[in-house]
Amino acid sequence: MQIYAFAITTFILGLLAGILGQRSGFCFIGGYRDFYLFRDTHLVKGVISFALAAIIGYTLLTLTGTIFVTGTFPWAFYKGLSAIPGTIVKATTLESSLLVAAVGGFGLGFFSALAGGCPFRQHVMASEGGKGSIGYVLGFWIGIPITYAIIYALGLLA
Amino acid sequence: MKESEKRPVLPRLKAWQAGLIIGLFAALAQAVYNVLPKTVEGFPAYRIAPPAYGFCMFCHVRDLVNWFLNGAIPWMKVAPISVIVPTLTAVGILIGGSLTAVAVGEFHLKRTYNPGLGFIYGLLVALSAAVLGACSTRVLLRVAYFDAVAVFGLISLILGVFVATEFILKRGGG
Repeated sequence: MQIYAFAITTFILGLLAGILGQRSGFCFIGGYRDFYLFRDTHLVKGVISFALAAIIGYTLLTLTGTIFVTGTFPWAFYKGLSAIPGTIVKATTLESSLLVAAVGGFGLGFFSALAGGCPFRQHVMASEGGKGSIGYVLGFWIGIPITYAIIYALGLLA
Repeated sequence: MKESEKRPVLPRLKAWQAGLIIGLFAALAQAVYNVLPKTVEGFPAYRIAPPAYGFCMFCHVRDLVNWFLNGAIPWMKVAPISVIVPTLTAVGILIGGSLTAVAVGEFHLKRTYNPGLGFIYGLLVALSAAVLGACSTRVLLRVAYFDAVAVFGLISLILGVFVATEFILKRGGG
């Protein structure tokens, strides 16, 4: 089954990210925090190089015509000011998708900084045996069905 | 054995080196989605796996949880990809991180912060990521895909980090 190539790819990508993350302490939230606190650029350089490398990657895929769903990159050029699908909240207009992005983004930054790392970093720390992060990962995984239940109960589910 | 403890099998990396490699492969993974069927249960390819979907902690864990639950919770059937195939990103990270930590002798159960508090944080981060539609990793992929709404979300996220940092400073550390 060729779709299992997809499962294997995500697994290998995760494996690679786990190895590199363990060796580098790479964190998406820690970068902004350390820059704000100490003007330390070690982690934020990781964040910037991640974004730049992704732009290079998408450009390569577009140029070779192998990107999934052709005619979408660069998104703003083809689709204007709409959002890439992702949010589970009902957001059809530009105003509502901006509001959803603002609320979700702020909450994500706020709680991740309180927890001391982004979800990726917490998974790596849990894999090293950090007890706090193991609790976090359990909360994150179990929190997903709970999240859907909350959004559904509020009547906001897309 | 003593020698290998002094010199780890894998050298420490700078964050920018790790970011460069993960970012490139997260983008290139977008090509692999071409193996997926063009429609599943009436959903077009677009809804099966949206653009900039190569690497996401929230979405991929959600798809895996969905695949595992297999429709046990009716209102969670929103990610058609999880009907056909499990996304194993988070499993890979946990295994890759553990194996590396064991190989370099950094694997041991340690007290970091209160796991109960960690559970609550994990839950709240999952809720926020669901609303934003991306974790802190995928929001960067969406920005790299030139999604203007994601740029707005990223600015809001950075603001949230700054406010939380001020909050921690006011409270008197950690």
